[in-house]
Amino acid sequence: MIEDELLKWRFKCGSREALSRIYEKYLNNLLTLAMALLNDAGAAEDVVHDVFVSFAKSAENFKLRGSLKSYLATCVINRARDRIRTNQRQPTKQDKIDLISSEANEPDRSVISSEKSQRLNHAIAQLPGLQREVIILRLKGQMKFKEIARLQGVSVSTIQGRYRYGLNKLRSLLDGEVEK
Amino acid sequence: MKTTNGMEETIKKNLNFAASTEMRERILTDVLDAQEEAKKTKSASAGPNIRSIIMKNPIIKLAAAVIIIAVALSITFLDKSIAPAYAIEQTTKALQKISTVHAFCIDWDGNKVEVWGDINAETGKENAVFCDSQSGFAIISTPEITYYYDKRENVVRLDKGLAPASYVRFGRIIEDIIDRIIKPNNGDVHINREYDQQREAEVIVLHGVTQREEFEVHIDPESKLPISINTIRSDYPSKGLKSVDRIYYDQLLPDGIFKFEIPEGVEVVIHRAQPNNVLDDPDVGMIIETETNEEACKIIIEEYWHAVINQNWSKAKKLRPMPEKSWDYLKTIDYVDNKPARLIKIKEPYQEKDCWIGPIASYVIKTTDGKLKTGDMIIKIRETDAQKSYVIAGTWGREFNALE
Repeated sequence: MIEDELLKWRFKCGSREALSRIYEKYLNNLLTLAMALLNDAGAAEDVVHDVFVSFAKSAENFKLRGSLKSYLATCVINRARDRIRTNQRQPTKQDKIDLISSEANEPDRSVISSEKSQRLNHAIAQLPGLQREVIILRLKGQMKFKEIARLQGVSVSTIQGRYRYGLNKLRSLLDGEVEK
Repeated sequence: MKTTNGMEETIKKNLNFAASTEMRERILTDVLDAQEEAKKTKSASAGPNIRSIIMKNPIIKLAAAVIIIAVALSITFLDKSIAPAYAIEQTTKALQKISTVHAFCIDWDGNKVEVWGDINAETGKENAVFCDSQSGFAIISTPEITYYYDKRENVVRLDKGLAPASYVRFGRIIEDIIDRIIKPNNGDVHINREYDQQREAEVIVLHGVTQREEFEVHIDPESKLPISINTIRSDYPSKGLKSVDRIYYDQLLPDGIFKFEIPEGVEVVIHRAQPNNVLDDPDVGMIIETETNEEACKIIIEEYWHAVINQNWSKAKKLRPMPEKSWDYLKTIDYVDNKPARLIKIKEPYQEKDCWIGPIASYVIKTTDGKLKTGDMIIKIRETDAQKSYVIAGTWGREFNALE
């Protein structure tokens, strides 16, 4: 990812343009991760907002040898986990599903998605949290099993197991509902 | 029923959320404000570390041809207003597929230079290079031998193998600019779309700026390949190239472009060997009484490396006569970068068909950093009054090559 290497460097040098480009490049991807993990548009927006703002402040001390995409995805995971922990300590609130269909054409809504995407996301929301993380990081964050294992603090084989079980469960939940 | 693979594809393809325009702008405003705030509160970063690039030989500069412009630059940043995004990976991928390059260049004296390169798609390095300058200089470089033809002096210089290439490979020019020039030098580049008056079309411009240099690489938006490279400003104007005005890719190489026949009447010399008047001096070299020349060649090379390792320069200079400035270079650069620690092996001498001076023997040296380096020394044999003496005439190829 030569462009990312360039962007990382320029961002570290204080380039506003580089930060804007990183934002444009990864915003929707991170939003998708956050939505899949939290299933709440408002919370997902907050997480993505906080990740980017924190990233913007980190330029001077920013040292990253690895993938920018994986780094930002990990930041989203950590913030989403914090959010889930906080919510668990608070009285349960109704899932405010703020998802809308692009066909719905309602410009005031903040997160845009297709109906198919919403159905998938509802199914993913039914998975245990760790399985959900593995599947989302692997398929939407394009992270390696090794990286996810490090993030969850378990072995690669455990991660592969969570991935397999998660996919099987999703398959049974969605069987016949979502066409490829 | 969906298979696991089908499920993976479904998630990859169909699970997508996008931010609305309002949300996009809302967050971006906060993000850019946060960056500005952070800049105000943090100290200014250190200034750019300008790297000086030592290019000892103008011939080598010419051989590096198209890519030399990038090599001569250490880049720092220019930050313009928001530019349309261009994924530079497209250019790196396009360059990874090229097999030949044909370029028309201009040197710092205004001479036109034509370059043909056979590019190794796997490594991005040149397999062979042809370079012909209007100034009367030509280079034909192949993995076996390189000819440096100076038409004005009517001299052809021969050297072993490919001409030493720049560390920026043409087939990997973007990666190498970033990894080998920008990063080590706190540099940066700016990518923009501009209207090219000459071409009457829009091009992608990769613009690099430093306090001492400024350059542009123009990229064709359709093919994604560089179409010209121009040095706008440089504190190092030299005998290298100033600009590459036109670049063509994957053209059929002209028949025999990398075959060179030495013209009649031309003086031919070995590029890294001393002339006869130096080598015939009776005060240099070493008398060795052995049964075979091969054995004597190995002895003089062994003596030489022991002298170098022990920094016995007077003995080393006697065994290998060279002008003082060449010794200065060896002592202050070559033998510092590759400080010899131990002589590992001297192989059996052989006769190289293109080197008429005398037998050649390969040596293997271990340097102080633990690396193994190899090279080939040419030995001249002199016979006087029934005595044989030997002198190191020079090297066939570079002094140190990494042993693979």
